[in-house]
Amino acid sequence: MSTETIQVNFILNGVQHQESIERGESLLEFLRKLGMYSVKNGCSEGDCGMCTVLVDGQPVPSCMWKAQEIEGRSVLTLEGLSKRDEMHPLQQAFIDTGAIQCGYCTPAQILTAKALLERNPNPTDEEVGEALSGVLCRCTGYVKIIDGVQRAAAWLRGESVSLEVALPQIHTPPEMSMYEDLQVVGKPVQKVDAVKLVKGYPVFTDDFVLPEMLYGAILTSPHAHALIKRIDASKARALPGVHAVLTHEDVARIKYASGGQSYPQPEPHDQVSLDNKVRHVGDRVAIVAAETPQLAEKALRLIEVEYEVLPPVLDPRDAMKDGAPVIHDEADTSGIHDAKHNTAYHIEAQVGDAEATFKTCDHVFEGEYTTPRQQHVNLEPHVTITYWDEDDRMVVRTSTQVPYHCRRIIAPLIGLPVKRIRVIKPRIGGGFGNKQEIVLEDVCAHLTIATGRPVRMEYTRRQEFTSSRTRHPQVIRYKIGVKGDQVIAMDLYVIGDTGAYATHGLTVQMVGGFKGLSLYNPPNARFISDVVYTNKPISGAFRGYGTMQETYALEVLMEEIAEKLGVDVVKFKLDNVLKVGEPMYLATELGEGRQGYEQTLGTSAIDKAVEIGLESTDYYAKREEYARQNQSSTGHIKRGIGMSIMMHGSGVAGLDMACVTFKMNDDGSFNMYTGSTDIGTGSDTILAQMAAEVLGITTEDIIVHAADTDFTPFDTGAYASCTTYITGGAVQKAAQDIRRQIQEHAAPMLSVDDPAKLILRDKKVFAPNGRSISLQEVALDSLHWHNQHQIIASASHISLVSPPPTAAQFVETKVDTETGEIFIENMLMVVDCGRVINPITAAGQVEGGMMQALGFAQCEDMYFDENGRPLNARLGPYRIYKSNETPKMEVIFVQTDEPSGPFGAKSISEIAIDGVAPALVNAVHHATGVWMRDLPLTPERVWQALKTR
Amino acid sequence: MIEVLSQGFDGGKRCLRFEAGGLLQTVYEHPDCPLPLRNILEGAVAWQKRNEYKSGTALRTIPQYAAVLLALGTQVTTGENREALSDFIERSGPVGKLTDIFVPLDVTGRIYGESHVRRTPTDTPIVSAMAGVDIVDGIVKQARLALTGVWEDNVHLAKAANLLVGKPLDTQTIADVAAAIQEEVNPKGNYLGSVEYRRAMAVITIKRALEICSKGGMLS
Repeated sequence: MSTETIQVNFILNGVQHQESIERGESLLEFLRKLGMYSVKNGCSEGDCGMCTVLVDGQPVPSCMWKAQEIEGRSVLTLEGLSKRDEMHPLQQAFIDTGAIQCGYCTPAQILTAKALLERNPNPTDEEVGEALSGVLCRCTGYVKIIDGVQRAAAWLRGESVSLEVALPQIHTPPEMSMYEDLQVVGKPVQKVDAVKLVKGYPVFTDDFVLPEMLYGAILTSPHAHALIKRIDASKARALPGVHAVLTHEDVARIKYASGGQSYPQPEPHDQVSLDNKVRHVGDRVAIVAAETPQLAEKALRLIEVEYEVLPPVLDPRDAMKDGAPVIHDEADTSGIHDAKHNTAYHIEAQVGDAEATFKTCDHVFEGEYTTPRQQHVNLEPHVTITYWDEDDRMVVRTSTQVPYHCRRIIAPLIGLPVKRIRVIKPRIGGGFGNKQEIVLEDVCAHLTIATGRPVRMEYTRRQEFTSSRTRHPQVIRYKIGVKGDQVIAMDLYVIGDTGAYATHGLTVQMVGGFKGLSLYNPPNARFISDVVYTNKPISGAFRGYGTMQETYALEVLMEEIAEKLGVDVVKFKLDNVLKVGEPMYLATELGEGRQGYEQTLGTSAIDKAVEIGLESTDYYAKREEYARQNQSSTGHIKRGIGMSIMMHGSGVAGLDMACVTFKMNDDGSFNMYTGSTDIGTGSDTILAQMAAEVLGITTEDIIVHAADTDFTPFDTGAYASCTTYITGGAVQKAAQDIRRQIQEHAAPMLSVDDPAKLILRDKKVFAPNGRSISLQEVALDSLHWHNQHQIIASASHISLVSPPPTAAQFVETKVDTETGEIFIENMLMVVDCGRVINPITAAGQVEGGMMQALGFAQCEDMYFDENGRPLNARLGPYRIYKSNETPKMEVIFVQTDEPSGPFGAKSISEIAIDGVAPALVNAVHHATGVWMRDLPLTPERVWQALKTR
Repeated sequence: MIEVLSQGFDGGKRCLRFEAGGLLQTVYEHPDCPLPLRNILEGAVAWQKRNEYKSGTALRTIPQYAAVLLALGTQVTTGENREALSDFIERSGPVGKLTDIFVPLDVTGRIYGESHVRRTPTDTPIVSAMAGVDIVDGIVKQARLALTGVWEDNVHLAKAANLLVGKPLDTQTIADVAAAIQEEVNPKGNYLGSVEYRRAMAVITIKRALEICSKGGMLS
């Protein structure tokens, strides 16, 4: 195959180059071929900014530029910004301020900031936000990125900059004084992966090219519901350079469920790698491996498919009706509750007798709410590379949150035993639950098996919308019975739209039901849920995992009830909220896909969080003041303030398990091996902090390895807010074992009889008499001289409780009553996550969570035409918040000492997303008097509500 | 290539000429870029996008940019033919290759007002209105009202602007124009806004854009 090539002369990172390029090749592709792996692909449509490079000092989207356009120009990538041992002030400032989470957008953010500061050395925050608005970030909420740019700007202006960075307020109760002497835990320690991310090193899945690597591509369905009557791939197979084309006729029909969950996977197992029926636009039809991505795409176009188009069903309420099109009519799927009514699961759980109790209540309130199909928008798309290693084992290098589940689930699909599969998780460019699924791994491995060659597959941005996963849209009906001012009965009915396949359908709805009925924990409660198939993209795991949807509905209805009863809403909520020492009545009935364990609330700072939030926001004064202003003003701008309270969980009780291994090195440093997956949350860092605390060292002496199923021990993976709590528990145990071994080996070296009297501190072992030896001396002695052995330890951890973090969320907003637009002014979250292990990364989690939650509440949804074709499967029309529209955000922590958690920690990542929607809806109500029941609060929805009030 | 020409038009003493094949960033950075245009390029188009889009193709892809150029009284050339941008945009059938864009500068008495409705503060507007009004001795001499999101295609000048000419820009006149706009627009509904909503927002945004003008507006 001939491709026209042309010569281009240009300067790359200060060095003159003359290179041959393929005419029409994008600058992004060209630069990555040259090894500039800091230049990332996020959408290939110019919408995300991940591919930004500087051309003659201007930030340009390299995916949209042709490579030939750089003739005679100077190109700067992040590789050119610093030398190996030096850092640009922007890079250092990004590390200091915690501006890096997953790091996928970091190269583009830094280059754009560099271009800004060269033009404007003293920008305002607004100008920084404006300049960076072309580079999306899904992790941080932009707060710390803007802080980082401002810190670097001050440095570059020659101003003296404090080494300290601003930290969130942390309130600590007196009973936590035992932690006062902590050296590493609780400190704003630099992320252990910060340097490689801030320098744009090739650390992500796709930053890896193997000889003879082929490029895979997927033919996806244009129809929401259709049978494949005939498929002819002969023309595609005949295309030179195409090495494999696989359809349902070529791949064994092995049933599975793609949700990355613990064994045994909940039924139904309603998926196969390639099927003869398609159930949503974007469903898999065929896969191709070819010499180039372009050739693979060309081959897809040559596959002839004859479809028998079936009527789609798009609304779950319609899908449950008699006579609705049946989405899963295949004979070989078992475990569907009622296939004829498209009901994958029907869940019922209850405590007491809600129905009878309603009759005894003074008041019974009902409300129906709907939530949107939010997409994760992880900026690194799903990407997988598979290859045979030298022992004929299948290596799966993939951007996954669940390497062990991935290995177990794909084994039968690709016909290999687990022992012949190795899953490697490099750095991950954002997950949020979307990578808690088997999405590309099986099909990519099928292509490697078919060709014998390495194969790389990556979703396009459109496929991220249509073919990865989304949040479960829900229809939520709450019925709440109140006697006096006490909530004594609750009924919750949820229709969960699971899309074309069940995957996480059971567990998301069960968790939603459990949390949605436990926050106020009435003694009489009933949960019923129907999890329903539709011909829409597959719903899966997404940060918040059901709790977010139910918290929204519950917290809005509770506000409405308080208003109708004429009582103070804050007092009403706090009077009724679950208290420390109280059992959660539905814990055993609503485990996660199985019987749960009894749960009692052990720690909670919800009262304190609310108190701090009320004071910080001046809530009551604003409630009065805004109400007065709104009443007296004839203008079209109204203001409101709203709040919500919430709780989440810390891992799945009795299910999530982690093992961690430590090995001591000659110099007294340690390798830490964990199967957990830092998806940008900073979990590798906080785990290293815990280990360092136990071992009396700094995180610089912990080398974190995560994750590789060949070398790192089992971990269920990054989901359910489990890593700090569960993996942290394993870290603490294993590190304590290492400490014991060091003490035992060092005792004779220090002539001490009782090893337990030795103290590890400052990378030394101290005897009671003050004598000390270094950890290096202990390591060298143990490895080479006396009682020779490797100081090494592994520990597993599981918890039968899942202690809830608690929080209070406050939102202030303006509403334009003529247009329905909402302008968020302030968001404050006061969080009890137990012990804050790292205040910077924890605050970053909360800021990013609030921002993602704001999208859920205000603007993010997927829309479809009447045939189920998506209408906004691009980043532009879908819309996530950008850096130039971020409202003011504040995070305050209220610590509690969770006895079952490592160093008293609970969890942080998911609770951060739970409270914005109800607080915003309550603020809109305060401003306008309308109750919004359907999310997101698009301008037209609000306008319509205002018209009919 | 971007330059200021001494030959003005449409009441302007000079004009800014830029190539349709040049990048938007070049226009944005030019010191004589009119303020309403600069504001739109800054608020509605990210830096990277300004370095991606050509000035000509952006007329089709960034409705607000086209709207502001319409309100500014822009002319364009397609080969030898020079015409009003509004004629170029509204012409059906082959339009010819756009080569240059001319924006009048220093128009005495011309003021601008802009209003929009969107999901988030810098989202692409669901509906937007851009008004360019020439006022001499308190009376409107010429007016252009460009709206996005309320037509079959992206952007158009509204005929209702004629109702302004010869009248003071007062509350009654603005109300009359807004009422006429409601009748004139022909929106297509989609997931961002129904026909009903877009029609209503055309009224609101044009009213607000004109109210901004009546209060002194934005000078170019």
